[in-house]
Amino acid sequence: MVISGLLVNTLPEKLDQVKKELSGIRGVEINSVVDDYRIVVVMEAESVEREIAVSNHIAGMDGVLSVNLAYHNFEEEGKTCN
Amino acid sequence: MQLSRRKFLKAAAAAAALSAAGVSTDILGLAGDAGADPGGIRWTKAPCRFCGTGCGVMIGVKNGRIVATRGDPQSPVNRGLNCIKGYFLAKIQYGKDRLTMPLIRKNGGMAEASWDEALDLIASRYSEALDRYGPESVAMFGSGQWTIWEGYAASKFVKGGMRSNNLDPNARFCMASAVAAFMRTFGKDEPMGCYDDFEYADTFFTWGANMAEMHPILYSRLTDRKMKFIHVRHVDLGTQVTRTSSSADIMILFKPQTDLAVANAMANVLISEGYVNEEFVSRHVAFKKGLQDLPYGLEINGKNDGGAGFRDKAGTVDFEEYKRFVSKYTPEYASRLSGVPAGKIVEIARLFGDPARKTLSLWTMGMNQHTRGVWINHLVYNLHLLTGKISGPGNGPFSLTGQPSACGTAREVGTFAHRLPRGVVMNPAHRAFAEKIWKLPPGTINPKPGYHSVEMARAFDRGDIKCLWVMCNNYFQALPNVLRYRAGAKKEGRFLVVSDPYPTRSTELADVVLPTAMWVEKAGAYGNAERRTQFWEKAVDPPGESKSDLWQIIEVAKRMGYGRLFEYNLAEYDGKMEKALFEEYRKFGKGAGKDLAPFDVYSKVRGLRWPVVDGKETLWRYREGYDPYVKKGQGFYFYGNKKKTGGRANIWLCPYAPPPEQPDKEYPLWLCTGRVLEHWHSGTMTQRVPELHRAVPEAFLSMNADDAAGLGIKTGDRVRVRTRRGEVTLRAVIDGRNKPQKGLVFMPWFDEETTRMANNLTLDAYDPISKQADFKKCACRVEKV
Repeated sequence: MVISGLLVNTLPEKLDQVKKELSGIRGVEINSVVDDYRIVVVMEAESVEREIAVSNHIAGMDGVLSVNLAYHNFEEEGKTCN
Repeated sequence: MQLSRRKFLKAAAAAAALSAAGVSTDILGLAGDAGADPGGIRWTKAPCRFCGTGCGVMIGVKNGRIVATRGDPQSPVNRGLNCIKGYFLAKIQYGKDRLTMPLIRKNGGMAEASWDEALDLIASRYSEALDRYGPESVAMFGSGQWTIWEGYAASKFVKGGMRSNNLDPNARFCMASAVAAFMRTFGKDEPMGCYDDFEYADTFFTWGANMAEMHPILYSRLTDRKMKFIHVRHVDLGTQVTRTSSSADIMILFKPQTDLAVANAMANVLISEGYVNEEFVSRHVAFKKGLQDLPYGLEINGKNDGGAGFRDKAGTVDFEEYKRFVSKYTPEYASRLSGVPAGKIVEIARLFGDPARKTLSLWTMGMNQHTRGVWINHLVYNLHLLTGKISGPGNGPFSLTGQPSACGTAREVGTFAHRLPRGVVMNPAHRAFAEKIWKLPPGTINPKPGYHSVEMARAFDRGDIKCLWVMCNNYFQALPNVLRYRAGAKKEGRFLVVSDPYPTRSTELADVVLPTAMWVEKAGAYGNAERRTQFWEKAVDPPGESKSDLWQIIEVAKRMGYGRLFEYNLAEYDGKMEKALFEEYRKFGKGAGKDLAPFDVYSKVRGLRWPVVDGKETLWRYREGYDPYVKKGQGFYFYGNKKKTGGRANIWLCPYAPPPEQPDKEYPLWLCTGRVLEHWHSGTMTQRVPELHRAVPEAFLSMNADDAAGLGIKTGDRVRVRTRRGEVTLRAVIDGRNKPQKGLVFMPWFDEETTRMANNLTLDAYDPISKQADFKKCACRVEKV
């Protein structure tokens, strides 16, 4: 289990659409929205591979300007989640 | 995982992201420097080891291993955020095939050896070559990923010890054109501005730079500025549509090489429509004209076309002559060459010149990897100098860098074939200055410049260089026209040493391979693209018997009898060789516009931008009120040109010139090479991260939909790409992340599989002024397999 904190910058007019898409991804939680266009996301995943795949997926979404990583912990990589 | 720990980590992840978004949060005490963690993680700071942005990273270590990373909230560069590359920052150190023992070629194979055996062998082969063939027969090819003291030690060893100038860095492939143009325009290298410019600029120009993927954190600062202020505009100029162009307001797609015409036409519009800042130009600008018909650094029938030893001859002209020169570049003429509608050229020139807007130009490889790279750099400076939009918040030409210490080490220490830490080897006063600091007898340093990157490979191929040490880079994948030089390295009588953490296309050719400690496995210092010098402490041990590049250089130097170069009373430097070297190194910059703070200061701060005078960093150089070298009343003062033009910056008259190879009947398409987000440079590190390898497992060919349709090619088809140098076989991608213009194909160069190496194809032509090779333009043919 690996955990990361991300900041997803969106076009304000696409914020709701991006939020909706994010909420459909397993392991992705929307923590909050700042300045009407920045989404604070916490991601839990079984591997860094999934984290990278999901981040790239988010970066490619319509309305997403950028995806940045604020925090990444992989001390329990390879171990399953409770 | 225990639930409480999981909850803690998720809260920490949210807190870090919130704080990076500017929301004040100090829950769990995580915003603090050390970040007390009940899970036993110890946090330490370091600059990121990927691109030249120089983001601050906090590294979490537990039981001797990196288990967590986060953007450093105290770093002014990235303010708590890293890009997606942060996911594999630590992983690149833990690849399964890390080299852990020195290897020596014996009976055709590589055998493990002791350090003593390996180092003695290197020292004896280098000493023998020096005795028999002289200092021009030995060489070292280094890196913009070297720490500052590694580059400094290399310079001292090669130039002060072996009396050779055959020292060049891979930064020559990366930003030599920017350096040469900065020197010729301002008399001093590196941007005058800093990243604070992003928060003041009204118009951004990106030239041949896919910042969204290559410099994502800086790109976020650009898009943040756009989000907060609706008047902000972004113009992207390039030869293909990238992620950066998709978020730009105006995209200018020009034919390869015609940026020279577009920039001249913009200058023409600025002049003819009255956007010139006459006062600035009359007080602070001089006009220069160099040779107009330049060679391309090519070997034709084994003979160099004159690029190798080329020196420009410059004369002074006046504003009127410059005006006549650019008057030829009407928007219509530039449009015929470039394919850009004339109206668009006028539109972006007006946007550039608008006196109510601050303009920032950003560029990387598209401008630098160019057989007329120095010229296109000049042409962009010309726009800033004509309008006076320079050396102030939000205004300036800003070349970004691709490596973490291309500036700090390669450019500032001066690990180039013609350079010294202060000045150049050709200048007797500069040599004497270095000899004094290095405590060498007068006349020690060789006055003749050494071989630069491509010519170094040619000399090794010919056998003029007998011994070559490649350190901290992957020369035999990175060279253009690489097949020729790989064959050269295999010839009899060549002795090749390669220091690297991993097996590469370079180590496989080596006679000795040395296992190297990387990034936070040693103490280090990098300098980023905004002149910020940043330090880090060692955080974890390197695997096996790996040793730092610094240790390797000093040990070989000692064995060759140059031990005195590295003899310091270490008790005066807290027992640290790094401190002794840095304190000596900073004597070179003191009072010369490159003042650095004492060693101990950098251990505490998140970097400082030089010149650091009286403990204060400098945000905008050459400008009164910001730069301590500019006196009251001067306004602007380009003191690098004090002797030559009385402190004026130079506008250069540079024409359009065609590239040395263009598409024809046999090879009808342009080939451009570059990077992808997931893989860094030659893939040595990133291909060891299985997750990244699976995400982008191999190089691909990005094609324009019309070109592909004409050849009956669909996404996923196997295609063969041929040039006059070689061929590769790849899968085609149509309408992928990059959308090349019609007539151009793009491929990334990270892939080390020999049938997919981009440099099998590239042309080894270079800019004769900067000696930087052009990896962006050659002619190719594509066929479905």
